[in-house]
Amino acid sequence: MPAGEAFSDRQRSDLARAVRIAENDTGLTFSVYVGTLGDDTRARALELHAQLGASASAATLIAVDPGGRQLEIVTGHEAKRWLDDYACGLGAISMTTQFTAGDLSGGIINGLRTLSEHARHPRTLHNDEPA
Amino acid sequence: MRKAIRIAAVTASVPLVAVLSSPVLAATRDDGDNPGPGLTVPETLLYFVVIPAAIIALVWLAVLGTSWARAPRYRPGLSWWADPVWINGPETDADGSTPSLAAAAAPADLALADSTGGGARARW
Repeated sequence: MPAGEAFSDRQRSDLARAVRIAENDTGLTFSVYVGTLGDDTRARALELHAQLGASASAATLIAVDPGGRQLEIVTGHEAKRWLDDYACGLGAISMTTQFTAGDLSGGIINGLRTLSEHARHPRTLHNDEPA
Repeated sequence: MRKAIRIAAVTASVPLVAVLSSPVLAATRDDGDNPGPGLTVPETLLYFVVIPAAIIALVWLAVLGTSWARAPRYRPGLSWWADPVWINGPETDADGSTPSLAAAAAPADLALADSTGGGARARW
């Protein structure tokens, strides 16, 4: 396979829009990584999540390894309050269902939608600090 | 359903018999027919091989050409070819492109801090 872009411009803008909507709906930070995760996918995903820096605590990272057919969702300490592991599992199912059919960007967008629906919560202005 | 099959079989049988028997009809000369000169070998090849092949190739190109022109798309089970993409990642460059994804050595204490978080994993 030749090297190239994972997504078309259209898909990229759709993904960016889905991330923005999810962030507006929940007040949390969402980040999507698509690339190789290596052998220890969980460790690599945690590493990437830590690279988000100051916003990592309120951030949810969706890491997709299309070659290895692995999906990792990592929630930070703050994000976990609104997005528990059960909701992450539901999001993972909705994503992998579409990945199986070869639709990467559509699966990620649907997963973001599922996650943000579960993470939606009333804003507490003195406490929420979305990035 | 059964009736439809029966009707189709009867309807198809008449032209089928006519087509199969047409070489026999051609073998006997009738009054008033005018066969004209036969085709040479190159002409036969042109009419019955080259032109049909060209038409088939044209249709084939019309169907498959569009997918050749497009970028390769992800298919489950095949290896992954593209560079890593990080949407809404750290320090996105000014031009909006993916930040450099240098293999970052995450400090151990950061990984430890994340152990209070959660998440999920899945395979497909």
